[in-house]
Amino acid sequence: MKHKATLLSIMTEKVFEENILEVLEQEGAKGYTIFEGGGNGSFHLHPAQHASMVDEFRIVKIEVIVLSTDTANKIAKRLMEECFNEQPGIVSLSDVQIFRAQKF
Amino acid sequence: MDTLVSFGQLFLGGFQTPTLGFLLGGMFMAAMGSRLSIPDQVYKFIVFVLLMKIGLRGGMEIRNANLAELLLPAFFAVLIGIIIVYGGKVALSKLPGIRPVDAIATAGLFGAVSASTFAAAMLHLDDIGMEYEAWVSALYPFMDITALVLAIVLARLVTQKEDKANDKEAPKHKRKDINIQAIVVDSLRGSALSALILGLLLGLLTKPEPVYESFYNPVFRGFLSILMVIMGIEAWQRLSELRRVAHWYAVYAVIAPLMHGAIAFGFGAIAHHLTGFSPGGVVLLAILAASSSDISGPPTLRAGIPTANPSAFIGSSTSIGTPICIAIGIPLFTELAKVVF
Repeated sequence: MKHKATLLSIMTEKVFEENILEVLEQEGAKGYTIFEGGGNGSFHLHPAQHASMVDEFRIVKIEVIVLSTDTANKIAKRLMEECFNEQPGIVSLSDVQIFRAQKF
Repeated sequence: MDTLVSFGQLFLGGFQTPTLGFLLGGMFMAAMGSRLSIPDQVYKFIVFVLLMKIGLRGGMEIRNANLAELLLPAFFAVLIGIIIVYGGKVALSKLPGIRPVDAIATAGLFGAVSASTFAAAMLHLDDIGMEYEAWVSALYPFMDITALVLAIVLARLVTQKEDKANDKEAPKHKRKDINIQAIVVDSLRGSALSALILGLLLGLLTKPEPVYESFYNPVFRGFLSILMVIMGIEAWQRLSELRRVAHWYAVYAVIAPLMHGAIAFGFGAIAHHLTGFSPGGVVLLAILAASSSDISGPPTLRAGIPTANPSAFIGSSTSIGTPICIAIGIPLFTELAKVVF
């Protein structure tokens, strides 16, 4: 009933979200979830609480689960080469177990 | 001497006007560590209403205006946008500790236009009864988009040159080519310009006078005062970011708004002599140039020049550029117009 899968977590700024989603869709990710938040990075503070005039600078975490490790690696590689060569961003992969494999 | 005295009085009086007073109030509260905050949504809504008001009035006036009069100021707006970005790039690049991409992004943001500062300037002219063409708001995109596009293109050229200088073997990842059309479309789709354009169109094509008189015009002043508090808080908070980058940004942010305003004032004066552009219009053109974008410019530049440090360009614009423009720029150019014309 349980299946092995790979969870890709991608952290970046909201303003760069679009390019990443493009890659995910091209690589056949069936769905993803976006979390918005704040934090601190090497460049500058991303306040989550107070009214920030520019909300495109919010940090977003995009999570996507894929069944094939190869697909996950391919997505990660494309993101590092196409998006994060000059944009700020973090990609991490982790093994997860999922149910309902047909959804991924 | 009289002018100096009257400017001094105006400047002091300016601290008591809702615009500057509320801005400083916001800064003061933030400096005291107050947890006062105004929700994002309120802020966005206020900006929308202010720009709709400005757009509606501009649109209604364009209906009866001779559009040929708009051409020369529009051309000047584009020219000023180019001068600010080039000038800023050259000036900032010469200073120590400033990376070329950061210099260009900062110059781009100072070339772009601040809706809130512009609204404050219009209100000030209304208060002192100086006439201006309401269609000056239509000049906004000409200067704004020119500056942003030029900054992004220049930054891209610099990065390409650096790549070559470092003799990087042709990187496997191709840098995306610059797509000017995409930048222009993206700017036009930004929330600030969208609201302004919607207002202009509605003012031009429909008859929004009743809703303008009963809603947009009366709430303008109050909403602007709230926006000023938010901007004051933001200005103070961004100041800590600015401290993390070269101090030259602060120097640039103090001088640039006044210098840009003076350049635009000169162009405005030419238009005044050639086509009868009103003194109030000249002041507004100067403020368009003096202001630096704080809403729509930053994300466009962040996306277009991802290697530039946002602390540098947003810090100098929001923390110093905007307050200087509102506190000194607006009264200075108004007084100058009174003296010159």
